[in-house]
Amino acid sequence: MVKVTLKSAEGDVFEVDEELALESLMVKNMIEDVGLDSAISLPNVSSTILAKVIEYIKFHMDAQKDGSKKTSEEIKAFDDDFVNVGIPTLFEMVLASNYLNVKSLLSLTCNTVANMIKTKPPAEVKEMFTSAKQAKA
Amino acid sequence: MKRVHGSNIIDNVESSPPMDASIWANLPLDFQLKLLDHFPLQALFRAKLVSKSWRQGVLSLCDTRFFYIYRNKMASPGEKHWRPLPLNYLPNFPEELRRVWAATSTGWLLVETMSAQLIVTNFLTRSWTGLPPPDSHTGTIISFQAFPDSSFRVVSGVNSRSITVSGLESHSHDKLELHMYYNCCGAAVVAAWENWVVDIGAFQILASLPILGLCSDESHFFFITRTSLGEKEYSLKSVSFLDRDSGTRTLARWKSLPPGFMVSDTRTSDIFDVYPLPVVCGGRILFPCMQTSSGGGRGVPALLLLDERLGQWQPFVAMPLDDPGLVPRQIFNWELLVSAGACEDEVVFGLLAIGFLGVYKISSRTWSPLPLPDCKRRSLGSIIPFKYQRIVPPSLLARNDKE
Repeated sequence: MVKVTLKSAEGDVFEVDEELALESLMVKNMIEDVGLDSAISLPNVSSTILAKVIEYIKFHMDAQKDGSKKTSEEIKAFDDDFVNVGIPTLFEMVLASNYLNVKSLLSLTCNTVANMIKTKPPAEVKEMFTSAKQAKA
Repeated sequence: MKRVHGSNIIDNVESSPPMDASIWANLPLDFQLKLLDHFPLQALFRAKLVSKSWRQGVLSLCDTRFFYIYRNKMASPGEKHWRPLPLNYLPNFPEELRRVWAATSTGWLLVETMSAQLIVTNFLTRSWTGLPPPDSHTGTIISFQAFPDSSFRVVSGVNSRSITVSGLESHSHDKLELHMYYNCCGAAVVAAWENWVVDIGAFQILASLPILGLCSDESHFFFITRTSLGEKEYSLKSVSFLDRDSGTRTLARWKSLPPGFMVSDTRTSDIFDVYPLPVVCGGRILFPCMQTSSGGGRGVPALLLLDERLGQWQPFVAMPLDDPGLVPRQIFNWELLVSAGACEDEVVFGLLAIGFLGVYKISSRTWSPLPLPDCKRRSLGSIIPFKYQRIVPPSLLARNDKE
């Protein structure tokens, strides 16, 4: 199995199967452009987040393989647990999944954020999404 | 990769830490607007009030959304489950709801209640208005159109079949009546239903059960008849409901479909026919059927296109068999009821016996599966794709404000 080396913002190196790496369209494009010889540098993704993204992709790839015994409930439980994190981590994951272009993870994280704010009154949402600087302007 | 649905994730909200304003404000605006894709409709309604940019975001989003309606459920492309139509502001919903029709490319729905009342509504604005009762309570809606100037038109059809038995032979005779209601925006007087009888041709009967639905475009009603005597010959006919005097036009006649294409004929008796209905999609008249494969015994859903010049059906598209995510595992026999509904350039294809629903998008030539309705009784002809657009009639808005 061909391996791909990913380098996080901190410079930590993650060696993953090519198949897994290709789930990130951004990495896929990079591989197509520069090949597999050098490490793919991901300056916008921290080691913690990159590890989580890899965990997510790996779980779903395994779950999709033939012979996987994982039920949709188990997959859902994994997803629920996966995004049951602190707000800063969730925020980072939203940005990372967007940057890495992992559609399913972006969908999951955005969905989580949407669920958090969908019941909030507009004023509160406005406050949340407007920085103090912008609000004064 | 798995598509994600987090409908239950909200359960975690109580336990999650409070949202930190300083973090989310760092999310670029275009990214914030991406979140709207994940909002349920009611939340979108609120999200419009957040800021001007969010409002624009909501509106632009709504303008491009496709929904499929099935009974009292709806689904968007790519979703795995049907969710209830957000019509709970209507009186006695959902118990009273019978069927729903959508005006293509507008946000309007036409709801038929159990007591045969017709209600026109827009579920985003939650405005609704009842129509005067039609003269007949047994009609099937043929066409529901809403116009940008807030007028709308409803056409319904009723078929009454009389069967005469003389000796050993029975003769069927159909009488097809159309009822039309046009609501002109701002009209002082409530319009009345107009009724007339359509000439379906001598010794002809309707080839499909009207209960499965009927087919129309902006101005014409399309129906298939067959000869009630002797060898079965089918005809596709059209009648304009805008110009009643123009009469009935025959667009095509056939005894059998082009080689390699067929519909289940086993459910057809002398008295009842379950012939598929044509659909009008992007100006084309299409006919849902099955294409036989060279392997024999196995068929795939296909659409035929009417060549109006030749008055003949031509092969248009068949579902590819090599897409394992799309093709139902078993399409083994012909005991299938095929049905289709259309909106703009999308055709929804349904196979009753195996419960398969798929969408063919003509512009991109792609097929995609739809979630299966999770109710036991499946009815065809009631899956309607429609594109949501926010066109709110001022008259309905005003009425809503008063309440």
